[in-house]
Amino acid sequence: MDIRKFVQTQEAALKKYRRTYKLLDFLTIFTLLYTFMVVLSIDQALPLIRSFEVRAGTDYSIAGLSIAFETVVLLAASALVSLLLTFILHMRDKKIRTIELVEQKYPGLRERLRTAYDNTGLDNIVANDLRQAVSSAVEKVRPSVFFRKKRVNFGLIVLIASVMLLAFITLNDIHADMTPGDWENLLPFVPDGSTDDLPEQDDDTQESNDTENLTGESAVVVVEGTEVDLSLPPGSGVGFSEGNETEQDTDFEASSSYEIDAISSETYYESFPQGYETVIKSYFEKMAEE
Amino acid sequence: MNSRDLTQTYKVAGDMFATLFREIGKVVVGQNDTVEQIIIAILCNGHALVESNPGLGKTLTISTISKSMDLNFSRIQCTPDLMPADITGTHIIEESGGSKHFKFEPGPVFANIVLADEINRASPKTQSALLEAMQEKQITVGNDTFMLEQPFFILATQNPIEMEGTFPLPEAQLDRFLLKILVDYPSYEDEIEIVNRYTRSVMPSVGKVVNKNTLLDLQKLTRDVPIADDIKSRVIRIVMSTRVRNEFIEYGASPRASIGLILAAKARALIRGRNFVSNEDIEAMAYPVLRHRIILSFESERKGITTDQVVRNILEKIK
Repeated sequence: MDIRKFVQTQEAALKKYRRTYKLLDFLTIFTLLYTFMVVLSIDQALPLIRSFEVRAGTDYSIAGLSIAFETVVLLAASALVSLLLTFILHMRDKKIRTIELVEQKYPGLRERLRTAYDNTGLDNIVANDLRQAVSSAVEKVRPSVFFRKKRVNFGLIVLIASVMLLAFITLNDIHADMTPGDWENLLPFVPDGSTDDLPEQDDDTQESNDTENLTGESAVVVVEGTEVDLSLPPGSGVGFSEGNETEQDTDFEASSSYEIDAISSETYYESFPQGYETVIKSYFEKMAEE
Repeated sequence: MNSRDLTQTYKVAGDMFATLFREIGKVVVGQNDTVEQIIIAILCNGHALVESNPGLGKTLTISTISKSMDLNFSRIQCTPDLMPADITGTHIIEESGGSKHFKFEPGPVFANIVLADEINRASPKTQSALLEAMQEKQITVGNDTFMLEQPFFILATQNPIEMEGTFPLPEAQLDRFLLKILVDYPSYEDEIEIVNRYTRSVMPSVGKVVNKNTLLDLQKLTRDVPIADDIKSRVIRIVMSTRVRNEFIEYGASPRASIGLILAAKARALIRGRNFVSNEDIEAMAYPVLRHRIILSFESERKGITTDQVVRNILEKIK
């Protein structure tokens, strides 16, 4: 067998094996990470993230299956982190030195194989004799001897165990009793939308707003000899405000358009939490009776 | 030399070396490393400097090797009054047919194996007369240049004690020796054997194992032994690290040491029946190749550190 060809074949096989180990590691880390996220109810924290808030609760139909947005995000996050961890795990992997590995596995080839490989172009009696001896010796070498079966078996066992764990957790709905509010308390850095987050206004701008007369000069028209002031009262057009309420005439009694009685509303039922409809209904009925 | 002869020599090389060592072992007791290193120097077409105390069989060893290899052997006993012409030879006036003419009378350097005993006792002028012979395998007398017969090998000895009245070899000349071989005292068992062998009426003798042409074939085969790139790279790194001046090293080895170390490792591999150079060969040959090429600093000499310790340290660092 040609020694260079032999080394190339072994190198290709070793690279394939290494890819297999990486894939196995990735799948194991991915499954464990996803299980971990499901158990911790990380999906409940997603509405806290502004970009995800609007999509939370959305279902996607993929190949006839309905997958929640939260599941997609968890899967993607797990895959990303797993990819990173697998990369870190294999970052220090030594460069594949095929000849060294073969020599370690077959001590009879120690220093002979590398010498024969390095001197393939040398043509003399001694070098030819060495090449011939090495060529016949490497014919017995199979790439499969470098496949680390123990490592792969261990990896497969861990992977199967983690898949089973995930299935068990999913089927039995085992997860931490976390709500978005709990996550908000746990993660203080998540923005809650309060005015504290808004940028401070320029002081000069505030002052100028206070002094400016937005309504301008008073508009007065004369109708049949009587002057009528058309200027808008302060606070007009900006909604209800305390200032506006104080200006209002309170010489009339407020009345409701409805009779004071128990009324039913469809909207209440619509927003009732499932399983508590009867309890809530009886509560309101009791309140109405009182 | 055709390739068929070379193939034949290669096939029988292993047996040949085994027989050679066995024959030499009939005369030289122990000193396997010394014998092996001298043969390595011969296979590399290099020269060796042997350092030992008197009476350890340096001359016996080299004369035995030359006899087992069917090579011409000559010995030069170096003294302060030895002149270059005493080594290289000189022109003498010869009278024939009533006319006189100059004739070159070759000196003891015209041999396959030359033993320069106690070389450090010769004057620098005489020592340098050997330089051309060692490097160029030729000598120049007057206007005439004479090629030396191949194989040509100089084995010089020097005595580490009795330094009075000696002329230490200059670095340039030391560098031309492929190996510096240290011969130690024999073990108790070996000394018993030495006494037994050399107190009988019949002295041990050696048979011829290798002829001149076979030796030339073996020298060619030595250079053909392949070496892996990473081992070659290690050799270079080892030699280069001797040039990094530190508290132990004043001056390091030259590129000639890299060539010598690889060649010596190749020869050792061939002797050991291997068709490739191993790291083991490099580690074994680093000491004799480097020990005379490293100049220690005053500080390390004051501390009693030897070049072998420095080489060991380098070998441990550079794997």
